[in-house]
Amino acid sequence: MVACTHKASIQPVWINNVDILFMPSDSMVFKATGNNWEACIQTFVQPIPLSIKYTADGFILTQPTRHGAIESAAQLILSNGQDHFYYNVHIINKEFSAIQNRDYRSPKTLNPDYGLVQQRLKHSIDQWRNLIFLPNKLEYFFEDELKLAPKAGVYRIKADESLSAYYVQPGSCTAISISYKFNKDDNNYTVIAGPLYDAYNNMVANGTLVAFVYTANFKTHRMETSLINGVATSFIPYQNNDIQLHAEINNTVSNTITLSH
Amino acid sequence: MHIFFADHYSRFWFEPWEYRWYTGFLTTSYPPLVHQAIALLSKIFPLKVAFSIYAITILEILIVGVYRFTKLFYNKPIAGVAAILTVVLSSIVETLHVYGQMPTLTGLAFLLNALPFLYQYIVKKKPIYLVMTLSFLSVVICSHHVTAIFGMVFFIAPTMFMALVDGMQLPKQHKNLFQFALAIIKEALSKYKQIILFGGIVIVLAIGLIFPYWYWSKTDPITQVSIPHGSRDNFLQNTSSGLVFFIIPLTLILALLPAIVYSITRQKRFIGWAVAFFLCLLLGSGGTTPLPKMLLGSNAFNILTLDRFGFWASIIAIPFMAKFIYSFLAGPVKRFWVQNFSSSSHFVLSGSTGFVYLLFIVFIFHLGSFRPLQPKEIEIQPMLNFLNRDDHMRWRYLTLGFGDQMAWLSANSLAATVDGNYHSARRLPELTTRPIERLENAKFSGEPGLESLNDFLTASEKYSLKYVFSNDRYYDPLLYYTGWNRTIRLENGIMVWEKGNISTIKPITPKEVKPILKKAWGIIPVSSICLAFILTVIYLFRFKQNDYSTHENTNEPYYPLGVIYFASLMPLLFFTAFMSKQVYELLMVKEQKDPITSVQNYYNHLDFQRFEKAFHFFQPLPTYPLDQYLLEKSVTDGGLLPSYAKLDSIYVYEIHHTNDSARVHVYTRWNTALGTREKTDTLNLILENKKWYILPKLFVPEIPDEQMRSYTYTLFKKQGKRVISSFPTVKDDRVKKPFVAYKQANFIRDGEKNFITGEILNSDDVPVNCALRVCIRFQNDSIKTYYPTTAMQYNLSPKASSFFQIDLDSTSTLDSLVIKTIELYAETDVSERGYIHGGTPSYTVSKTNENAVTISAHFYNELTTEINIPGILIAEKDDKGTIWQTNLVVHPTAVRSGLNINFNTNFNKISSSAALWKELHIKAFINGNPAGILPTQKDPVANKNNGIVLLPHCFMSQEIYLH
Repeated sequence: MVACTHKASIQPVWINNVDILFMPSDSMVFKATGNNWEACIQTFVQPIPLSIKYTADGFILTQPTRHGAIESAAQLILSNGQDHFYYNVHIINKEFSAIQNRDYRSPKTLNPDYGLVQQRLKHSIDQWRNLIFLPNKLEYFFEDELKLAPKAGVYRIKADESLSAYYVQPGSCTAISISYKFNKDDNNYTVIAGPLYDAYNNMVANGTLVAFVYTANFKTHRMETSLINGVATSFIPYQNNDIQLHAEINNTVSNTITLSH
Repeated sequence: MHIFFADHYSRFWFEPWEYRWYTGFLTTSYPPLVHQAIALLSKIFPLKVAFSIYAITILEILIVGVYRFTKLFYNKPIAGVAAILTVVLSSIVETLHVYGQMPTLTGLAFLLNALPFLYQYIVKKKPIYLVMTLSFLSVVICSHHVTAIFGMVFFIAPTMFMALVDGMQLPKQHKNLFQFALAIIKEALSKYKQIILFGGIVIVLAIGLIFPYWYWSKTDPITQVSIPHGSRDNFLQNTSSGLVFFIIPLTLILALLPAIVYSITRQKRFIGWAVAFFLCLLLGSGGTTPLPKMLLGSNAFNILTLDRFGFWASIIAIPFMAKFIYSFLAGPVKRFWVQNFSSSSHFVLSGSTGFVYLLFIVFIFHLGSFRPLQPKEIEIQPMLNFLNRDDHMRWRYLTLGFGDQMAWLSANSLAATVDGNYHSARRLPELTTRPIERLENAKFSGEPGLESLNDFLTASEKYSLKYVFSNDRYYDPLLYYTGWNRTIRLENGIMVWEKGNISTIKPITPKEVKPILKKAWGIIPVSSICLAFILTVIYLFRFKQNDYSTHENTNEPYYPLGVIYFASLMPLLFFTAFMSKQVYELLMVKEQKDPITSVQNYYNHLDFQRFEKAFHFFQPLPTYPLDQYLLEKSVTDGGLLPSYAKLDSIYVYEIHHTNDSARVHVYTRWNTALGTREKTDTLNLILENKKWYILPKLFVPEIPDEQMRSYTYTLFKKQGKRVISSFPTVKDDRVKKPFVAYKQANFIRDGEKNFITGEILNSDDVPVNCALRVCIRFQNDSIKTYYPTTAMQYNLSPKASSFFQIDLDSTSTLDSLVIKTIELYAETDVSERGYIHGGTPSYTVSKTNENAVTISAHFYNELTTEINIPGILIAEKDDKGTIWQTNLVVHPTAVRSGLNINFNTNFNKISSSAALWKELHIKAFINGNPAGILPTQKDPVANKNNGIVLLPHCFMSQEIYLH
């Protein structure tokens, strides 16, 4: 019954019809009947609400938030109860400002053991997140490869932006130097490996596992410790016999030394 | 479980797919009415309150049902006694208050209410009674399928039989049984239309009302290993099962058995009930005799929980018990006592019986306190908060040591767990192939339980299982050695374990249920109870008659004397004895009456960590106070056996015994999460004041030289760069995947055993959590995935490496399927803890024969924390450096800071007997990218030690930031 009694609305006529709608939009004048209309612009990412002011023979739409938008094809939607009318438009911002230049790097963490080549991708966006041409270029994207210096550290693409940081790690150590001394008071040996550097003279990373493998009294011992500031220190309890000791980091092995006093 | 189901309907009324348990199952696997009714109430009240309101309502209906049911047998006063008895009957109290079996009680309540209608329909042939019977039976069918099925045998059939007897036109008392049987058959034939009509409609209703359930059971039949249940035990051998499943629910029945047997066999109209009662009693006795198994068949016997039969026996017995109780309180039995022993003796007897029974009921109410069946209540809010934050719900979780509270946690969260509390719906092979009830209480299922848990903890990637909420440190060793790390201890004391490199839950296509069935499942059951309510109102106003039983109750003047004495005195004696036994066991048992009992009880207290009680088994000495005992204990505590084990069995053997002293050997077997361990102790005991005391052993404490100890740890904190936002972590925030490398990977075949061995290196500058898996593709294009278990260090310091071994299927299985390719995958993530493996192992290896060596290991703890489980990861290498096998060996006791322990272990070498398969190239991948395998290098340390090389692999429980 209700469906049968529904009276269809007449499609409003857009008086100042345009194909390209510049944002913030100007007033859009419609000739229409009735005063129960709702209006919005639906872009591919968001609806933009419009306010309606009724006139004698229709209504005028205005954009209450005087913002720009992400430029795209869109639809102006007029609704009156169950009736909906669609007008295709293309949204373009009137002006843009607050340009941000983006610079993405991949990988963000590099290790000289594996390579120091970094991919860079650049583009620029405006305050409404629309892509704009790169400065001094007639293109949106620019891609190249950088060969970074092998100096370990934390670097920023933008000095004031921690999110833009990338990292060059130290590589593996190339050689292990070890030394020892006997502590008479504690009756043990202090064994020191390091300072340890990689092939580019970076200090080997903190936490690197150093295994001191030694033989004493026909037993094989394995004492593990971690590197701090390029140095690993371990305290080997005194044994009655001489101790044959070497240090290992992965496949890098030091000379074997004899601990005695 | 029922609250969880109610929560499901509260959230997804028309969607039977429940994704939160077992990676998804259909709720059509259980009749829905009870759960839907609670779900409706939960729209107004909180879930637990809704459950309570529902329970109260059902109990009311059950009381009415018992009243009406009893009126089929006897007069209204006796029915009144029966109604009161319902509230205090131990079987109902246990079912309601201890187990909360709402569907069983709902089914029973409506079944008992349906029986008088059925009786009247058969006798009076009025259609209204058929309609009422069917409407009430519809509710039974929609509430509990088992009650509906067995109710037909144990309740419907006897009711129909009684109605046929009462409806006979011929003289009712046929002396000759044959004549009686003939008369019954004739009567049944004269009413065949009614019976067929009733039977036909009931079958249609039983199938139609819960058709999705039958459809599910037909299309997805239960094929799982039977789960052991105490109700199937031999109650004479396993007395605790007998107590819980037979004695407690049937105490009053057993005490009044002579009266019940006398009454139920007095009249021919009760023949059906007598058969049902004795059959239920027999089936309820579980595995005490072989008869239940023979009657039910081994399949049904192993699926059903048999305590329900005892429960039904107790319900059938209610009218006959009520008859005797009424007679005892106000009838002929009372007169007998008053006439023969004075009214005061009757008063004392009835008062004391009532009082002891009341104590008994209070005991059942608090059964959980006397014999804890569940862990203590856990506050779930901290776990809900954890699951809600940081997208933790995108993975599955598992609870350990929660008991039934795991269902309550599930009901309050949308997060999914691999476990569940409804056995019939389980379809995961890791669960269905083993007799395990739930993963969360795996330790109570012995070896199969821990094997099943081990499968889930190692193959956690398969089920996106990332978090474990642990309420029981028993599981800590297994969790740690299968690659789990502790993340946080929540405010409620629950430890959260996490596994790295686990993918988020992959979408699972729900099992297809036709939309019409979904709608039917959501509408029909609730409609059945609405219809029953409306029809009841109509019936009460238009059709109700005062007396529906046509049978004229003949009250025999007296029970036989023997029955009177037995049934009058037995309840008092029975309950007094029962309660006295409980009090005796709690307070007065002689725990130190002889050396063996004394030692057994000492270990029992030790097992349950009642240290103060355990201390009192030692000889009271001024030099050995409780403080000294606890102090000595504290310095030997913390190892696998003292802290993470459960006593499985104990055997005490006296090797020397005089009048006042004894020496015993104690053989103990302990269950740990890493397998069973055995231990032998020797204790000396002395008799003092008629008690046997253990003599404390001379304790020589091992004390390190240093007073203070220092050690430098390098700790890492994964900061990321996450912006404070409720949106998921964006790509920029992620910490990169660390680099690892394969130092070697080998396919080893040792007879029927196959495994991939190798070594993986953390080649990065940050600690790494590494997840390995092997995928084997077979000629038939099937793929099987295998994961490492305990033979690997999952977390590695920078530049550290670990041996690994991944066990594959047996040779016959692999050869029958024919291997096409073997792929080895490593996924890495930055790790914050678990990469310090602790201790300095030193060792020598001596050859015991051609293929066996003895490793004499010495372990020195140079750290500042106690090493709770000292362990070594042993690899067997050949002279070229190829790893042939890897094995984890742990020591049963802890090693404190600065101290040493020694342990010897025998190790069978396989390099001379096993084969290294080079024909099959292992394709290696790291973080999804193809990767090479480094050339194998010789290991001089292994070559010097008979091919044995080892790494420390220890568990430290105290410092969570280390592990």
